[in-house]
Amino acid sequence: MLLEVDSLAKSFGRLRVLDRLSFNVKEGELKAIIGPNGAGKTTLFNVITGRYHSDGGRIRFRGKDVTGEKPHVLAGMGLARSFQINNFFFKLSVLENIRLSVQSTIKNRTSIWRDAFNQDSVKDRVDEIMEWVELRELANELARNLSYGDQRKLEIALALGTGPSLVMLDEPTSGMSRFESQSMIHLVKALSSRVTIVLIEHDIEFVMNVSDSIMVMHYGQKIAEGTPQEISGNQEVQDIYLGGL
Amino acid sequence: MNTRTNSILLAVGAAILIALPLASPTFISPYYLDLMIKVLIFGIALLGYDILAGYTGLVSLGHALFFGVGGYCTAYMATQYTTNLVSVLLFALVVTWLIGIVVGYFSTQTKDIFFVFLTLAFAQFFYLAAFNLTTITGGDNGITIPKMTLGIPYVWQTDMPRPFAFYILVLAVFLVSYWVCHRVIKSPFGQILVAIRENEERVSFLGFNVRWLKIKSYMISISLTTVAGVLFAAYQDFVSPGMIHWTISGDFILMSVLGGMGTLIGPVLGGAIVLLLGDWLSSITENWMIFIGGFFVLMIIFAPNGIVGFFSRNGRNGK
Amino acid sequence: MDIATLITTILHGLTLGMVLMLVAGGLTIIFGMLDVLNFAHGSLYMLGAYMGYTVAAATGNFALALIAAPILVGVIGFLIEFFTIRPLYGRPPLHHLLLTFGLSLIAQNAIKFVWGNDIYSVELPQVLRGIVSFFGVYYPKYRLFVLGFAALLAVTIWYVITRTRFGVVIRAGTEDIETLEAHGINTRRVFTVVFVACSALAAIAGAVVAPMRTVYPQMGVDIIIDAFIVVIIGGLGSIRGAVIGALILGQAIQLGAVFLTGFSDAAIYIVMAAILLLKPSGLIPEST
Repeated sequence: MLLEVDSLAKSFGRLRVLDRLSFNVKEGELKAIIGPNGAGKTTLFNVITGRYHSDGGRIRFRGKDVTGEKPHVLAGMGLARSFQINNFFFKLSVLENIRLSVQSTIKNRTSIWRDAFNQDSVKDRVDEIMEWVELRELANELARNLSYGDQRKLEIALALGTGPSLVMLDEPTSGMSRFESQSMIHLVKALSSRVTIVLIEHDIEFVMNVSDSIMVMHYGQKIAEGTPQEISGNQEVQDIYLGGL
Repeated sequence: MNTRTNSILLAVGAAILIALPLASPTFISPYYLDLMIKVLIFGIALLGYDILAGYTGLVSLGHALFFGVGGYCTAYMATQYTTNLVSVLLFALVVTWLIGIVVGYFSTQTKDIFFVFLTLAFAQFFYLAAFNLTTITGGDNGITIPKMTLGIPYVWQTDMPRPFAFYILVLAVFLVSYWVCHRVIKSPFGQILVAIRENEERVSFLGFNVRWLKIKSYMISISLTTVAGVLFAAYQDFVSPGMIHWTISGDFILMSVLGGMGTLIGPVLGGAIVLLLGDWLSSITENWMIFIGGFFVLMIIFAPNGIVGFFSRNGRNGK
Repeated sequence: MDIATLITTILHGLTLGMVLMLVAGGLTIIFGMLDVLNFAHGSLYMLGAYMGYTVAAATGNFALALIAAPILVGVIGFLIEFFTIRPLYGRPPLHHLLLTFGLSLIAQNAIKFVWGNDIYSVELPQVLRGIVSFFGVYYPKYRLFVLGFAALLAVTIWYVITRTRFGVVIRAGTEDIETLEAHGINTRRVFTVVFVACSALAAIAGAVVAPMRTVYPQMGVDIIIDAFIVVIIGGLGSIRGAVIGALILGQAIQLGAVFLTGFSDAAIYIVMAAILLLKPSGLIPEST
């Protein structure tokens, strides 16, 4: 198992946002997490990636107990994430944004002297990622000047640059137009053949289409987990989630 | 400014700075050379200040502490052991790193306004110590320092005749400092500092230890402040608690903002303007700071990116 | 140390704490509502003292000075808000801090233009001179007056904030400015009123302190650092935090003067560093 989450709990005040939630992510799969707004999906991401502390439970990543580890430690172990609300470096160029991400993987990454940017391996890797997310033409554009759809791609590119073994994508299509989200769907599909993905997504069609496995959350609890077929046939899910749309 | 124009400008600037006083006293009288020495000493401190405040986004109101550490270490070494500038400089840097790692460790726990005032608190604590521990520091009377020397003891030494020889020394240190800072800013480390300024949370999600990088930036920054402090004390042959007073830190901010933070050369320019303008205005009125204050207020309202930011089309590294 | 000295010290601390409360209270309300860290707040306090001194010296009427100072400084506060602070709304908070830092430089030097570098002392009316004694403690009448006066002002402000419609606006404003706008309140005008009111408050504090601590050009800078420390340790924007912070700092300064002789001023920085290290956002952090 790449990621094992065991009875994870998190409360804000009296509100239980995560209620003893357990699930596993296998190497190579794409697991989608769905559920109505306020189900605790983003909080789950925040706790797993070290943004919040959990109130109970265990998280194991690549066989190691990483409960309570800080974000930079987890990222260093190969756990990357994107954010639902764009969270990159708005005043830097696309190239600089992605290079920062790739920079995290190299030796002497915080060296004061070495001109590490000119290493071919870094340049190639940055190029490759820009190619994937179709931002190569915009390499020197400032991130804040990109169209929203391109910004969403940059958000994902930043997660990919760190060379992760697990990528957690928080609603990559959030706020995108129907047309824009088409290319995002293609992108996620293409990525899923290279790296293990955990995906939060509202677009049910998209989820059914790309996932190997789906987990349904409701009020901080897991109410169902299974293949897309099993989930679409599940009566409880129909009632609580799909019916509530 | 791209790297090439930058280095050309730097080379031209350096050439002028060396050539002008060589023609002395025809063009530059000792009086102005004295001013230039102060401009360059402050320039060294401001280069360091910009790494932390301009590039990392951590505005400190406590850098006077390390200006003073440089000064008092010079006084201590020169009166007790040696007047050799290089030994004194090394000693001062070690003391700065010992104090700085503690202050930096705690201060970087906070950010924004809290960082401003926590650094202030630490610095004021040392100011009061310098002021009150009269047996060691001489209190408000300060300490008079013998002339500092450069060279190898018993072989060849010079006490750097003023103003010209001292000017060349300060200029050399300034140019080296600029080169170092420029390299740091263009390094992978410097790129991350800018990223921390823009969005420190995402930097940590990319796998970087932001806290440690901030401390590293802080340590580099204060090292230059200390170098400036040593030179300042050596030039004045005197230290007093005034070197640690928060108004010195305030001056660093004022000069940096005027010139343009996050541009390296901007703060140096700002420092030069304040010092030269102040020199001229003070011959007119004792309360010349009213004009500097007015200029500063107008700049904040109309050109918050400072002079360099205002004139530079590509001012995105400014704040 | 005997009990009488201790009581005197604590009373000194309380008086100082109350004065700090008036200055820091305004500072924190301005920050809470306008998002402005007003470095020039100390200058307004200083201007209040100079105005108060001038009026008292000219008319011989101290009560009139206490009324005139806040009015005159209120006008200056209006000009500052309208012409310099207003254009900067929406910028990072640091800009306002820098702007008002520049304003304080102007104010401090303008004072020297008008009044010179001299130190002035303010004549007190006959009733407030001398010393009272109670339980074996001898204490200057005027300090007790300052204590009572500041307490009265604080209670008045507390009443305004908790019991009036304007107070509701202020409390709502320090927590969430968008809600105010959603309720159709002209926040720009509220900002101006708040800034002017807090300027006047600082001026009263300056005028009332003048007879106790004399009037000198550095006084604005001296108090602003203390007031900032109060606001920081109390928690930025928190009115309750400022009250608690002021009382703590008042005691720290006075007790420090007794117990840390020769190093007395360090007490406030020790207290501040200790509080910030334990609670990096102050005692009562702004709710986010």
